[in-house]
Amino acid sequence: MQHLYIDRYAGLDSFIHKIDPRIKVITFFIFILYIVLTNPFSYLSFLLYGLVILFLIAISRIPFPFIFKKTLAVIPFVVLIAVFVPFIKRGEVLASYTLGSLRIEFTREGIVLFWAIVIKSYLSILCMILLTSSIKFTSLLKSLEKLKIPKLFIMIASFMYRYSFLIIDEAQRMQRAKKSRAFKNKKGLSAVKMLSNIVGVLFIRSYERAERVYLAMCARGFQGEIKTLDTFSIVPRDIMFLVSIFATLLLIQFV
Amino acid sequence: MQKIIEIKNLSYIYPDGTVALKDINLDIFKGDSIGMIGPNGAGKTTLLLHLNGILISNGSVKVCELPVNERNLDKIRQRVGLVFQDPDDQLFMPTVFDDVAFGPINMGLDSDRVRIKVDSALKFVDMEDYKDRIGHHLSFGEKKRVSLATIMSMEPDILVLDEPTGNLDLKHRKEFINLLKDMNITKIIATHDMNMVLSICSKVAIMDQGKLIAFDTTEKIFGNKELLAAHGLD
Repeated sequence: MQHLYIDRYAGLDSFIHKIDPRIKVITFFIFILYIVLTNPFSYLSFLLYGLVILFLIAISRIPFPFIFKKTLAVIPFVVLIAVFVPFIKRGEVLASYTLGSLRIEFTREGIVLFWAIVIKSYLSILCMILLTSSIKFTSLLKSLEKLKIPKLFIMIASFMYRYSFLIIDEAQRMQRAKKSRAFKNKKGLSAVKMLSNIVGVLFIRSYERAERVYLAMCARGFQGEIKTLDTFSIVPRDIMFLVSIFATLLLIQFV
Repeated sequence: MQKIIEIKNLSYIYPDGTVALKDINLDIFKGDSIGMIGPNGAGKTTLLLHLNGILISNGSVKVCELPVNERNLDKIRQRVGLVFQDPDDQLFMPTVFDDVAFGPINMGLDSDRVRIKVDSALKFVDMEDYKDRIGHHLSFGEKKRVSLATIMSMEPDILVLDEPTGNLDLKHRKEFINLLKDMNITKIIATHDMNMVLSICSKVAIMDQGKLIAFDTTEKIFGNKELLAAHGLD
């Protein structure tokens, strides 16, 4: 079965895709730092950041709808957390309501903070999504490894990447096997029971597979550390990309 | 001829009490190609796991004169290449290249040598163009071939295969058998595929219920219809 969602547009051949993964990770990291550290009142800076990101998305040739759909998955969480801020943050009261014995205040500082959280996280998420969509997941992991992220995290992420699809396939097969034997969709408690059985079996199967994978690793000389070869090379184009983005960010600070 | 594997009085009981191997004695010579046949649960896989020290139990297993024990594990695992039955167990790295390079890197080779070995192993199984492909995007036949390459890149003296043709379609099965035929190293193959045994194995071992029932040349074993029938192998 094919699961292309995660690397769907990673195989494109644009300027952005060709940048060395390490440089790309560093550049976007700097970009996000700038976004986060910008004064919430410099609206023009946010607008310019947004335009730069849109420009980068355009030259990466990843379809805009794909990127925006992905941001929708994260935004609800941000809003959910940020929405209480205007009521909690102390400061100049703009409005207040009394609900029985409860007094709710709405402050100017709170609203500013709310705006800052929402705009900064949205721009950062756009950066992250552009980064992860324009890079193969395997290259992303390798570049993080080269940037000295602890090996254990890399190992966990790489096994997750390799085996999550397999586990999804297994779950789908079990679902099908269940469907082909049960005449109708049961509802309520028995459906929950059925689901918990599937989850249980899936867990045991994954556990057993992990044992076998470990044996296969040992058979090829695994000694507690996964080593891979470095396949990246930095060319002038990469440095140019890093420098030009950095210069743009600096310029935006002065407008 | 040089004795390459020597197994003496090997028994193994799984932690849950199942007796998997009972008093196995087996000598394998350099260049032999051995088919290991027997019903499911006969102990074939368990025996294979002893050959490179994944399981170690009482009795002695010697590979190239080296006793299989904790101290010799590195050397033995370089000499004995074990290909597991399920290619999804064998291929655990994100990309084909990383998977095939895993063994050579662990052997401590420098990166140029690793690249050469990976290239030649992938070329051997005719998968050169798949280097950057991702494990779960391969078909079953492709996974099987890459699995073989992950071991070939380590250039072992002994190749141990568990069910190499299981679940393969006819075309891929034929290709895989031809690949194995082309390899001039000692091979030990646990399988249910009798036709493959006939076409590539010089000797056959029959196992049943953890015991080694018979070990002889392929002609003699396949000439003895009664023996085969007694173990459900006809």
